[in-house]
Amino acid sequence: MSKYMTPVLVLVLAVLAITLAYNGSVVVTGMASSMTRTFNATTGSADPIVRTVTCYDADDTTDVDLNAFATSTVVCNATVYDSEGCQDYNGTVGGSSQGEFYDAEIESQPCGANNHSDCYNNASCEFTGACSSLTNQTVECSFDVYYSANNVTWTGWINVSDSGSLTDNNTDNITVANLNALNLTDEFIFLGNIAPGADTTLTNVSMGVDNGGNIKIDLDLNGTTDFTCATGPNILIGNLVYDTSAATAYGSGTNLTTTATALSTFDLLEPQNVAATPSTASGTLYWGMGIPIGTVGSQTCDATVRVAAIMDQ
Amino acid sequence: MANNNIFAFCLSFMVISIMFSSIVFAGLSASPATVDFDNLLRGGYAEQFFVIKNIDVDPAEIRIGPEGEIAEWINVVGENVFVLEGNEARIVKIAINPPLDAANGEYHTTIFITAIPLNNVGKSGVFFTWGIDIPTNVIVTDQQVSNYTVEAFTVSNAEECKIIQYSINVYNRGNVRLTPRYHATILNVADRSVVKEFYYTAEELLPTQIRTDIVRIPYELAQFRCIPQGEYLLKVDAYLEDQMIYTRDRFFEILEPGALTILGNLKGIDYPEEVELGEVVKIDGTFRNVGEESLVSKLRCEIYSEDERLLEFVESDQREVAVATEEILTVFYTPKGPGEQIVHCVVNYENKQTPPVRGPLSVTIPIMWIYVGILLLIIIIIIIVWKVTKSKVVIQ
Repeated sequence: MSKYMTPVLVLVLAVLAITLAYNGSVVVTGMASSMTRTFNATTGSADPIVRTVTCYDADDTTDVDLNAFATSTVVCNATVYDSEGCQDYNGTVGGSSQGEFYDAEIESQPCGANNHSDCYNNASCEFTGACSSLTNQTVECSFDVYYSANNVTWTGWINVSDSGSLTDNNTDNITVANLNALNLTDEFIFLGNIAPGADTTLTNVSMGVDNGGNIKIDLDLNGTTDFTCATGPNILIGNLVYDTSAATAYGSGTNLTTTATALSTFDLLEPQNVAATPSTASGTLYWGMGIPIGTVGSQTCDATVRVAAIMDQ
Repeated sequence: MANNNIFAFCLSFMVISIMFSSIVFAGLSASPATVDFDNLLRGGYAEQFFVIKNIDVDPAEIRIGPEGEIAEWINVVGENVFVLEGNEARIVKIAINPPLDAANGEYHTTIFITAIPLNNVGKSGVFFTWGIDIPTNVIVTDQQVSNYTVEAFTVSNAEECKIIQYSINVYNRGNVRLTPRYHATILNVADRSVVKEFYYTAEELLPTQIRTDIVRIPYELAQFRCIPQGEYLLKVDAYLEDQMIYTRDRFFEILEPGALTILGNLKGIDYPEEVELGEVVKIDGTFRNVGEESLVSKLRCEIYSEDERLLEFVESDQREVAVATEEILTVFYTPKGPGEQIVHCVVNYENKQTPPVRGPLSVTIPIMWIYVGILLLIIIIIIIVWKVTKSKVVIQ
């Protein structure tokens, strides 16, 4: 008996070793239920029908309102009908849904891969709610649209296919509103220690300006008040100058006034998304300061300056 | 003498210090970026909405005010000074009323929106406020323009013997008040026969006003009957005085009682898509009650092999989900073997079931098991070689 034990033991160990070492392709069943569920592909002759598509954004207004430096969620939904039943298209037996949202003035369907610029797609839209009358169900496609989306008419497109690969699609149009958005990189700037009768020589103190909307912008600039000095006298706001170049001599910079004045050459373009990567549209303002002769020294002076974005002039 | 010179130098070198501060993120947005009021009547009215957002992380005081030649024609409806928290947005309405003696022509003004940081109190120096300036163009005319458009039209499914409701979004694009009228016709989908008609006169719509009208159609037919269950077509015609300016139809359904009041949605399932044999898989299903009554619900997940054979099913405990809330329903599954599997989940509630949500599950053999298998193989080989060697010795 013992002479057979070794070969039997070797055989059992070999089978066990091979089973453990072979990863990934062996399915072990042995479950409480051996019931087989069959997913029948229904090859009916009836197409699915995508009924009216409606596109809207989070605040459900007539236009899409974008979010500065961020995305806005646009939702397009439609009721789908198929006489073969919801299961034929909602993924239970088969079928699927896809959607696209694109700039109708630049693109057409299919608009291609998601480029975060003028073409967004959703490869797997969601079937929501119950299947009513055994045939109708709502499909919903959502798209996260970047703040640089053009201010034009966009088209939302929904396609549904069933288990027999029959398809239908439908569209809706919606306008993307224009958005003016501004970010300053500084709330304060340091202009340096300046003696009475002297100036900063150049406009060389910089401040960044970012465009977070979908339009080209210029700037409106004004001083809200003159410099209020602790000891006095006050310094006129016009002693503060600005320019779009760091190399500008103080005397060649533009004097600030208390009336909003357009810097119509600032021309900061809206961001352009390239290769699905949102770009940053940034410009720079440079500041310089001069202290009039006779100003009392060793004191601090306060002033407020307003920088506003305005549509390109 | 040297000290006196130094003192004199310092005395004569007067310094004006302008305070500095750190670089911060300070922003504001407004949409739309420009406003045009065309064909405005003297003594007339128009309105415009803006979405204003403080895109700074800190709160800011927002001030809104028009400036320019016709600034007194423009008013902010509600507060024109308010605080927005960081990343908070607000919808602001402005209204414009040209006086009766305004001359016809074109006018221009600017609406200034300014953000003033709240954390600058007590600081000294030069500091900035930031804003968005909205160019506003106005054309005053004597010509009356009467026109409105329908921007959107939707109809909701209804339960049998309950109100049928549709919503219609209208925009007065003229410069006079007007009253929209709607004619709704319910048609049988099969033969397009008329089941019911309903006329509705909406409230007066001001110039440039955008409004959503909700219209409720009674469900009764003659002889105290309800419109029976089934699929129907709702056709709506919109009229301006006697002229039809819009017509559209939408499909909708009359469902069995309770079909809408008792309704839930399995939004998705969450679980690790790859596990090792021996691990317990936790599957979370997000279930939302979108009906009008609380639901007793249970998540059921079936796990299938790659060739669609049922391997196991697991169910969660029952949970009551309140109206308009989401709950996470959880089941646990322990794979019995390696391979590619399919997770197929539904939520059962009140004798109903949600559409399924499916996903893949990959069950792998733990790496330690592979090492043990290789070690066993080596031992087997050693045993075989030893046996063979021993047999040869015996023969000799």
